[in-house]
Amino acid sequence: MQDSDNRKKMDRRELVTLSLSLGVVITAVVYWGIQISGVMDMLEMAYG
Amino acid sequence: MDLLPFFEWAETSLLGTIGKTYGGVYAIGQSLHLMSLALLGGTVLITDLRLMNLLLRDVPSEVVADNAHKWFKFALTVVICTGIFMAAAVATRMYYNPFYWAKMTALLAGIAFVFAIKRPLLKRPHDSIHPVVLKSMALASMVIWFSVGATGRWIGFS
Repeated sequence: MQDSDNRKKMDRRELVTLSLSLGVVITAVVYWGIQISGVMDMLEMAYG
Repeated sequence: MDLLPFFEWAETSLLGTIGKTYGGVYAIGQSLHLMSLALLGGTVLITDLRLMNLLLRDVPSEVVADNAHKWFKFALTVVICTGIFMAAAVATRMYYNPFYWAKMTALLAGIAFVFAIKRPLLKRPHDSIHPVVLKSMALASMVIWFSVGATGRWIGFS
């Protein structure tokens, strides 16, 4: 399976997939981070 | 382009009127929506966790991915159809809800990711794909579909 060769070179499609995947994960972390900090701010304002 | 007139029309359309008038029909639509979302989430998780080598390790990942994708397409179709029905009943409220737009963005990103990125790559033998690419793609896929589900639930609480 996919563990067979960890050192093979990536072709263009693989590089595009890897870049987009990292972009998706970073975007999601930023988005959910902002949402969670917004909720925490609101809770702090409401309950101190 | 302002989409508000379209949303106002959707709410007064036959679909919107049925959803708003008959609570039982809306409840059936919502149940089907949640069940198909669960099926969709299941197919995503089983495929992506297999690609990460975390489960079903004795089954070739090509077999898991190909079989799960058939059910993914079915679940996605039901999610979209029931979602249109549900949104039509409360279309104007949806228009002003930021989480509705967040969900639609995540949904479109998820569909584009699956059909433009993930499936074309997974048509190759999986052992010819670099493991880092497979695992990061699986992680990104789970993150996108988590965001679809989470923003969808957030609509109900905002």
